[in-house]
This record gives sequence, structure tokens and C-alpha cells, in this order.
Amino acid sequence: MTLPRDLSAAHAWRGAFVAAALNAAGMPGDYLLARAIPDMPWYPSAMSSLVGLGLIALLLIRRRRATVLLGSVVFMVNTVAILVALWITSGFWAAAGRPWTPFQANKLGALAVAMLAPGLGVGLAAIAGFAATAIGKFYVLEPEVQRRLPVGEPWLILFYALFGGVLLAYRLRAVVLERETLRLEAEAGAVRQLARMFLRLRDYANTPIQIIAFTTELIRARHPDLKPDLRRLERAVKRLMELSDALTRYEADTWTAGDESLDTAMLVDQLHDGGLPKHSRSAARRSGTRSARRGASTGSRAAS
Amino acid sequence: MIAADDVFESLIGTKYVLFVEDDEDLRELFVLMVEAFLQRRCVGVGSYEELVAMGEQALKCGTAILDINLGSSRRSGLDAYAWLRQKGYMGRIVFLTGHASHHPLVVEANRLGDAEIFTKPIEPERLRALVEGEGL
Repeated sequence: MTLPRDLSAAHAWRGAFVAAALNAAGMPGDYLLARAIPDMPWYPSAMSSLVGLGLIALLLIRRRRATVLLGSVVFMVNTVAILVALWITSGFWAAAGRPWTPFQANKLGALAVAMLAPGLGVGLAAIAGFAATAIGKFYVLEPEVQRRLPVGEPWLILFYALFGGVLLAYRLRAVVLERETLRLEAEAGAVRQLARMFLRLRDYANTPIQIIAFTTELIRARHPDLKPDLRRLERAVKRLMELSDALTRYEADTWTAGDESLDTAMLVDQLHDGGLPKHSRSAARRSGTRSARRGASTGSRAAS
Repeated sequence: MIAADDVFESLIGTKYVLFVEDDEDLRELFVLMVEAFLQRRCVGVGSYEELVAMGEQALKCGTAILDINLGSSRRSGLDAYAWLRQKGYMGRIVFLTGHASHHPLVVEANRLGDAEIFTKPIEPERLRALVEGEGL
């Protein structure tokens, strides 16, 4: 069964991997677009891209031991690498004197984080990072450069950050709901499996109970002097019959196609050996069903 | 258990009960119970193959009580039912099963329409109802 924790780790791993891949592939692309900008340095894009590649390698190595923490740390390191690179390159873009839509990469980053962040905290921190570096960078630019930028800058980034935050929260809520649904489905499946097993064991016990009931009646007829002793046996059988009746109420929708071919005696032997069916193993262990078979005959037959 | 030849000879004028059950202990007990308490003769059969081998003798019994599950990977009581009806058996057929009523085989038996189903364990007092269809 896939546990919710596994799903969280897988989700964090995937988000971090895609973010690192976008960084590794996107930053060289950013440099190619900026190659006509005078003195645009190559190293910020290269550094960020290399960090992305390194993180991809790390994620691949740790793929089987993925955790939410690993995904979150990788995501943050990747984001910081991008932010450092953008901080440097955006200054050159702004100072180039050509028409430029400011901080596009930061705005795109804020929205991308909403789609990829492993968790709310990490996601909000990354979105805040993209917004803060754009605003911060604006205020370290020369006043003349600042005046050339479009009206509303750098505060437009805050709208992107707001939308990114809302999208992030919405997406994470959907992920939580999906995870919860999977968990409930898995639990329901395990309970159905366990119920089927209990009913098969109940069925298995019905023939021996029948034998005891008939034998008691025969002995009573043949040996009237044993009646007081047989009454105790009769009461015990009656209680077992009541138990069997009580379990009947829970049998609806428990059987599925193919169950008719299952051999209850084989199931009982499995229980005796501790070899429960895979899905119900842990649930049955909690319920103590392994001990239910102790003392019963293994050489008998399935419920008839 | 009664020998097959004896059964055949004494069938005329006697209302016999056919009991198909793979659990040997229960089969023997049932025969004893029916004979001791209901004064009927009872023929115990352990499998579909035994039933078919018995042939005409089985078909002359007034009531047939069939276990549904006659063992893993073996012909079931439903096969025994089909064989009996196919051979023109006109008597009453009752299934006696330890399975839950929603078990696929029991559901299938229910669909047959002309067979009754009893669930194990039955109380000894209900034996007459099972064999003769009284007070069902």
C-alpha cells in the first residue's frame, strides 16, 4: 500500500526535480537572449544552471530515499541560485537602455513556485524571495534607470506574488484532499479484505459447529444421564451459533468475483503460519486474527 | 453409512433422503440423526462423482440435501443439483451451506428458484424442517 507519507515525499521530489530542470535548461536560455546586452556576464546563468544540474543529480541519487525535507531543501537551494543569478543579470538588462519589461523572470518564478513547491512554507518563502529581489533590485538601480522603467514597477511583482500564493495554497489543498482520498480508499480496501477473511473463517467454523450440535443431540438421546453435562455443551454451541448469526449482518457486499474459488482451509493454514494475505496483514495483526486459528485442526476442510 | 445395494433394494416404498456432503464426520452424523430422530433412511454421498456413480439409486430419493462447496477445485453442490435435474429428478432439493448468503455460490443457488437454502449450523430441532420442508 502506498502510504500518504510516501506520496508527500514523491510529490516533493517531483516538484524539486522539475524546478531544478527548469533552472538547468532555462538559465542558459536567458543568457542566450541577453547575449546582445553589453557586458552581460555569463557566469550567473552558468552558475545557476550548474546548481540545477547538481541538484538533479542529487535527486536522482536519492530517488529511492526521497523525503519531504530533501525535496524542500533542494527546492530552496535551486530558488536561491536562480535569485542570485537574476539579481545580477537584471541590473544589466535595466542599464542596457533598451526597451525591457522589468523582472519578467521574477514574475514567472513566482507563478512557477505555485505549481511546483513541495510545501506551503517553502513555497511562500520562494515567492517572497522572487518578489523581494525584484523590489530590492529596483531600489539599488540608478535613479535615471529607475525612471525609465514602466509605471507601476517594481510593485507589479506583488500582484504576481499574491496570485502565486493563492495558487500555491489552492494547489496544496487539492494535493492534501487527493492524498486523503487515497488513504481512505486504501483503508476501506483493507477493511473489506479483513471482513472477507473474517467471514470466510466464520464459514469455515460452521461445519464443525454443526457437527458438535448433532453429536450433542445424539449423545443426549443415547445417554439420558448425561443431560446436565450436555446442556453446557449445548449452551456453548448456541453461543457460537449466535456469533455466526451476528456476523451475517456484515456480509453484504463483502464478496467479490473470484472469491468462490478460494479455499478457506488454505486461508486458515496461512493464518496459522502467519502468512496472511498481503493487504490485510497489518490490519489483521492489529486485530489479533493470527491467534484465532490456534488450536484448530488444519487437516479439515473449507466451509461447505 | 448404508451400502448402495441395500439402498436400492429397500428404496421401494421407503422415503429416502440423499445427503451430499464432503465432510465425512458431518455426513455420517447426518445419516445417524435422520435415521434416529426422523425414522427415515438416509444415503450419504461424499462428492459429485460418487453421486453420479450412484445413478438411479440417488434419483429415487424423495429429498436431496446438497452441500454447496464440496471441496476446493471440486465439482460443487450446484453441479450436483444440475445433474439431478438433468436426470429428471423431481424430488425436493435443499442446499445446506456454511457459506454466507452473499457468497457467489450461494447467490447462484438462490437464483435456481426451485431449491431451498439452509445455512449451517442448524439446530437439531430444525432437522425435520430441513428434511421434510415443514415449518420453513
